Amino acid sequence: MVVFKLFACCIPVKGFANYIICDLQRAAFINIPEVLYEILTVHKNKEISKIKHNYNKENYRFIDEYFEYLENNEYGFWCDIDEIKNFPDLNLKFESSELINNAIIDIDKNSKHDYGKIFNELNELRCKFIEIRSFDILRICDLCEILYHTNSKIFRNIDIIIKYYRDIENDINENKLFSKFTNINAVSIHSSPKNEKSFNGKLVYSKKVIKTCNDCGEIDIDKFTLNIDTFTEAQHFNTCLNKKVSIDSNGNIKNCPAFNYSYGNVNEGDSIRNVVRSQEFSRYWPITKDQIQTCKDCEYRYICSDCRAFVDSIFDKPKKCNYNPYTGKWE
Amino acid sequence: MILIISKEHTELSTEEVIDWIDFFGKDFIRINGDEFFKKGNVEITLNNSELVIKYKDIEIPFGKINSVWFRRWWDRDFHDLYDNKNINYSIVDQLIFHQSGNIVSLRDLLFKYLDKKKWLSHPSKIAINKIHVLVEASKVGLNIPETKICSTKKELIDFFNIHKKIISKDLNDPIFFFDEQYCYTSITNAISRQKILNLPDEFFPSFFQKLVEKKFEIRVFYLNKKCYSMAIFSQSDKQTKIDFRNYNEDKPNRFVPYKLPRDIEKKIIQLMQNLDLTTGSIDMIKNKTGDYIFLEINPVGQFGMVSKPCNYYLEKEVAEYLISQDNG
Repeated sequence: MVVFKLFACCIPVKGFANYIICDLQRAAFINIPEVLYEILTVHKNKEISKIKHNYNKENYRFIDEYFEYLENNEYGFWCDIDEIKNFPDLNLKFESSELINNAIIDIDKNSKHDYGKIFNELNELRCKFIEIRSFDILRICDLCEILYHTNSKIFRNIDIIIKYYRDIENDINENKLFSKFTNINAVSIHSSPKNEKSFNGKLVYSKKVIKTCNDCGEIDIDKFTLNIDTFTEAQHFNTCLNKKVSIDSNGNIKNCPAFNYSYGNVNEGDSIRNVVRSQEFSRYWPITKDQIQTCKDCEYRYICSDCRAFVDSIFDKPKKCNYNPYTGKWE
Repeated sequence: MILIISKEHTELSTEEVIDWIDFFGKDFIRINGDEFFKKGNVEITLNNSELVIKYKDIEIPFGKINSVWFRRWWDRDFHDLYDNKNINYSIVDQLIFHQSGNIVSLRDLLFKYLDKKKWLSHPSKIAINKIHVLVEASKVGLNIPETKICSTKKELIDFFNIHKKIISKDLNDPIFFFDEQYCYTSITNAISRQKILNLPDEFFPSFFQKLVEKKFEIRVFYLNKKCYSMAIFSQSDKQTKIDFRNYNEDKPNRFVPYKLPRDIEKKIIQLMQNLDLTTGSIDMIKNKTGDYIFLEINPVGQFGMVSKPCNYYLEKEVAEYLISQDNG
């Protein structure tokens, strides 16, 4: 005797109007009907004949089709009833060895950052992911001067966001940017005349204009993250704020650069390490989507990027989100 | 203090274990085997009866080290040692052979002064023999595939005729060759009748096994009497059917947490104790009739590939084990 089992990395999530299966391994999700959600959760690990008892005869055909679809698309498999106990669910715990995992450093034409100090402190914090974002033009040779301070440090991935200027691609070649700094993940160019990718996708042109740190926080299906890390983090923490530090263009040390309040200023001698260790700095980190109005009824709550900066209250849905989970539509 | 012996690159799991050691506030030093022998990195001084080994200008504090984590050493990559492109290749080959002897004696010196420490796992224990492991596995009651090592076409045809479907694999560790564009590696291959007929009458002694028809594969990370298992659904994909390491990048095989039956776990624990191994990655197959078939042990196997898909936090487990060894 067999039962249908979803692979442990394929997790059904209920919204108010819609239901999805999050595929955390292949980074995708599919919409499913309410009745299938019920079959996969309420009637989990039951034989198909026992599941059918709960529904009308005319629905049997659909139930068979659902399972066929899930099997053919590799969301699950037929499992011997004796073997159910050998296939445990994915443990959704989230633990971290880091106080800070990622940092955003904002730059504009007036910025006077001490990059040596900033990157030394982030290195001591064992921060792995760095985003350098410039609202104004930052020439590649000047970017390289900044990046020299990241050499021989722990940083695994560096993302760069800079403003378009005409010779940018030429400058990248001349300065051998990608071969000199191998931990650069991607360079995104905002305010470009085109949307295009080059250098094997490492260079991304976008027409989107980023003038200040307020040009952020839009909720968009393309920015959803489907992996075990984010999904488990979202069960326990706020994925937008948890383990994040930002240095705004004036040197203010903030959790999110778009927050009004700062906890110190690197250019005035404050230590990032001391600031992030204060209890106050991390006070919003435990706010999960399950506690946020409207979001708690949204099927995307564990994969969404979220935004806690542009909200009426810290427990409200992001202002720049156009999705209505009660109608199941983007408005 | 914990000493970590590793490689400079491609060691994400090592980095993450270090993050946890640091999180728990424990001191460690790291030696990368491939960097140890690079120009300017090592200095050994004999002060009468005292030996001082410095690595990157830091003296290795033998007295303070209690626990040693041995990940990997170096990958026999001597490119950096030879930058004179004009040397005749055969001389280079001889030099490399000679130099590898020098490197081994320096390495052995370092390891000798760490001999009494608690190792995970000592290099001498890592050199296990695949066939011996199969014999030991069978002794503790694990099922193993029918196995043959032969060097003539005639014997191979006899073996093939009995089992119909057979595979060949490495007697030793898989090998990796690199050129500018590709990495070539040896993996498990199905051996067809046609392939056998194309072989010469006599060949290098090679390792053959009956093909086990899989329901799915199981990879077990073993650490200190605990089994952390994962099922790999490699069977439905032609590309990964014989060896899941022939990865399908577009549509990765399903990797899910698995709990082995207690009696199989007990046999694995017994086997690892008999082989004097504290850790290792174990490959198994659940066959079509529902039996668990033991394939092999890799004593320094990657555990990230089990840890991440199953959310097991094995990096933390390893760090905690190393710390307990260092304290105990």
